[in-house]
Amino acid sequence: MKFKGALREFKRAGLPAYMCLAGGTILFVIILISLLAPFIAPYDPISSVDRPLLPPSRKHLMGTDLHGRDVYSRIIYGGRVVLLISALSVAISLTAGVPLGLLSGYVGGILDRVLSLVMDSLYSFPGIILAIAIAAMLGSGNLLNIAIAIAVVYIPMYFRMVRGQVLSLKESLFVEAARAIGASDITIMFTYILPHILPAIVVVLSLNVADAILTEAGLSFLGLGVNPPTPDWGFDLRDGKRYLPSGYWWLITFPGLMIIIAVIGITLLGEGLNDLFNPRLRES
Amino acid sequence: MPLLEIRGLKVYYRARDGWVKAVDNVDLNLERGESLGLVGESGSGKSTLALALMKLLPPQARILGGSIIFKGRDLTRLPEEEYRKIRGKEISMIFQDPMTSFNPLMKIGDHITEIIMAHEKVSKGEAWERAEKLLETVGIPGERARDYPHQFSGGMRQRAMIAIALALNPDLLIADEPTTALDVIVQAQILDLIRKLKEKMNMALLFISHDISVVMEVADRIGVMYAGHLVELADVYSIAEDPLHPYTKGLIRSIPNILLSDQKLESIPGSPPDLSNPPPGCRFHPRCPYAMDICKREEPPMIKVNDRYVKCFLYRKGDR
Repeated sequence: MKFKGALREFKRAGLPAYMCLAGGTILFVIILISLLAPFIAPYDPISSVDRPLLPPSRKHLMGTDLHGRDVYSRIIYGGRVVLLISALSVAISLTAGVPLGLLSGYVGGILDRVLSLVMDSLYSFPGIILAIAIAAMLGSGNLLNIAIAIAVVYIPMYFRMVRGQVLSLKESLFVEAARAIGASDITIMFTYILPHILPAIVVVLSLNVADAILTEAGLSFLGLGVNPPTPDWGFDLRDGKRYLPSGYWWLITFPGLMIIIAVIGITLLGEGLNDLFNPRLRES
Repeated sequence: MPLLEIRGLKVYYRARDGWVKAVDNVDLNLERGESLGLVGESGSGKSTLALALMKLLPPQARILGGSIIFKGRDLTRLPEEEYRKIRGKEISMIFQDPMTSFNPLMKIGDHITEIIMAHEKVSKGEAWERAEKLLETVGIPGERARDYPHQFSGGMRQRAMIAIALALNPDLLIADEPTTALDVIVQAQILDLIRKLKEKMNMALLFISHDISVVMEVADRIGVMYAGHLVELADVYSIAEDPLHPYTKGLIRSIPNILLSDQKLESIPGSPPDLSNPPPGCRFHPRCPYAMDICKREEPPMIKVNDRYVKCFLYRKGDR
C-alpha cells in the first residue's frame, strides 16, 4: 500500500524524478564498481600481464596498453581515484564556501567587501586554468593537492550562492523576531538562516560534482594528476592519445567513455534534483 | 524612579538629502505595571521609537541625542553584548505580523525554548515543558508545541508570539500593532489576553497602534505622536472626553460611532509632512484649524495642563 503511494508520487513528479532515478543508478553502479574493484577486475591494474597493445578480445575485454596492462582492469580501478578526488574537492569547497558566504552576507560591511572581491576575482578565472596554476604551485601527484586545486575553483560558487540568499533572509521578519528575543548571531546564522539555504546547497553540490570530475580528468590529461602507475581515466586518455594515429583506438575510447558516462549520470541527478527542489524552475 | 524614562530622544534616518527626523525630542515616562498607548498615523515615528527601545533600528538609523533610562541604566550607551541580555528577558516585543515572524522551519515549541535557553541555563527538556505551560497560559493546548507555524491560524500565532514574549517575565512588553493583521473578533480576544496577562504578571506595557479606539481598550495613559513629535500625553479618560491638541481632537472625531450611522465620517484635512524637511514651527500647523502666527515660527514647548501634557501654543499660561 505504502509502496503504491510512493510510486504514484514518483509518477506525478514526472521527468525530473526519472532523471534522478537514471542518474542515481549510474552513479550508484560506478561507486559500487569502484568499491568492489579488487573482486571485479580480472587482472592487477598496475603490472604487465600480457603482450602490449593487444586489441580487445575475450581474454582482455578492452585490450592491453603499451605496457601490457589490462585496460579493463585499469578502467575499473580508475573510478576510485576520480571519485575520491572529486568527492574530496567538493567537500573542501563546501566547507570553505558555505561558512564564508554565511559570514560575509550576515556580517556585511568591510568584511563582505573584501571577501566578495577575493571570491569574484577567483570566479573570473576560467576554472581549468586556475586549477592548473594551483596544482602547479602545490605540486601534482599528491591526491590532496589535486583535490585542493579543484576545490579552490568551486569555492566562489558556494560563496556567491549562500551570500545572496543570506542577504535576503537576514532582512526577514523572523530573523528580526529572533534578534528581539536575544538570540545570538551564531544561533541566528545556523538555526534561522542556514536551514533555508540547504536545499539550494544540495542542488549546487550535485551539479558541482560533475564539474569536479571533468576538471579532475582535465588535470590528469594535462599531466597534473596522480602519479603514473596509478590507474586514472584522464591520465590513461592522455597516454593512449599518442597511439591513436597508429590505430590503437581502444586505449582512449574506454577511458573517454567512462568519463562521459560518469558526468552524464551525475548531471542527470543534479538537474533532476534542481527541478524537484527549485520551485521557481518547476513552472516553466 | 520610573521603570523607563525617555528624555529628549532623537532618532533620525539617513536619507540621500540629509536626515529624516523620525523621532524628534520625545520625552516619555513609564511606571512599573503601567500601560501606555502610543497612537499616530503611519510615519509618525511610533514604531521607530519602539525599535529604538529594543535597539533593533535599521543600519541607516541613528540615535542622535537623548537618553533612554531603563531601571537606572542608559540603554543608548549600553554595548551590544549587554543589550542582548536585556532583549527578550527584560524588554520583549510582539510584532505586527504573526505570519512572517516565525521561522517556518522551526516548531512553535522550539521558538519558545530558544528564548528560554538563550537567557537561562536549563536543559532542553525543561525548557520544552515550560514552553508547553506557556502555550497553555495563552490558551493553546500544550501538545500543539510540536506543530509548525503553518499549522497555526493567525490568531493562534499571535497567541504563540505573546507566549514567546512573556516567557521570561519581562518588566516591559512592547506591542507594535499586535492586532492589526487580525480580524475584529480575534483582535478583541488578543487584546483581552494581553490585558489579563499584563495584570497577572505586573509588567509595564507599551502598546503601539494607529487605531486610537484599540489603544483606549488597553492603555492607562495615551501618548499621541505626530510627525516625530509627541504632541499630547494624558490619561485615557481625558483623551477620550476632552482632547486638548487639535490633532488629538481630530483623531477622536474620526472614530466612527455606531449609534449615529447617518453621520458623515470626519477626517483631518491634508496629509502628514515630509520629515526630511518638516514645516517650521509646529509641525501640525499646515493642517491645524486653530493655527496662529506663532505656530508657523516657533516650535511649541510641552505645556503642562493639570496632570497632562500638550505640545500646543493654545494652552500657554494665561491663554486659557
